[in-house]
Amino acid sequence: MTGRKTLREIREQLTAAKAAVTPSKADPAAVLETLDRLADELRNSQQSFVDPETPTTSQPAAPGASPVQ
Amino acid sequence: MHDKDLDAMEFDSPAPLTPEGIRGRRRVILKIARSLSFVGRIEYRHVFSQSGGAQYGRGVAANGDLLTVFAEAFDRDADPSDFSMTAMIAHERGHQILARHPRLTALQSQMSAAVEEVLASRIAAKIVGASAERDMLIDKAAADLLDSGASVADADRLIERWWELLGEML
Repeated sequence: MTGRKTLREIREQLTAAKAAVTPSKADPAAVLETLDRLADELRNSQQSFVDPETPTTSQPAAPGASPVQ
Repeated sequence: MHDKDLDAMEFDSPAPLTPEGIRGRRRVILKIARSLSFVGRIEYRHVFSQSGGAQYGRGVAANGDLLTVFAEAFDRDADPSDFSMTAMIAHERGHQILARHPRLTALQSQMSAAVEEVLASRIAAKIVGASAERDMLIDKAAADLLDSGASVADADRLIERWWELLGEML
């Protein structure tokens, strides 16, 4: 767990940020853009991803197998 | 070295514990880590790490991963205004999921430490379920985003976006 801020300090920071009218000083681009880009990649990969441990339902029937009733 | 530095060093040492006390702490950690499905070795170090209380170490494979919990994690857990042990260990489990989940691993090489820290808390919030810990971990993710320069609106939007994505995967 990185960072030594206590939960109380974090919650005071969030409360102050919600009340603030001035924008944050740091440049937000790097982290925000990365998080958005990774979310896009993850979303796009959903169509093609097949979990190797999840059996698929499109297996060809074994020779001689009876059709499912 | 100033006297003030020496005082700080004394302050930053954990109080002595009996062997039974150490074993008791190990049992607590083991129980929580296993309940969160941590894979790999789990250890307790009776030292102050200066790094928040717990740490994830990536091994060659998941069963070689290492969760190390340090003495200050117990001090923080005992403080009602700070993170619980479950929240701290869940955050490290979040790092392990980032490193081991087949879909998330593919993205990890593109993550800075700051991005990984936000996502570890976000994943942790997902796996602890509805609880006080979930709120703690969401707040940590939001504060880390604010520290990176995000506005409150951006932080809320990203947290919600990743909540939906992770909900489909975890």
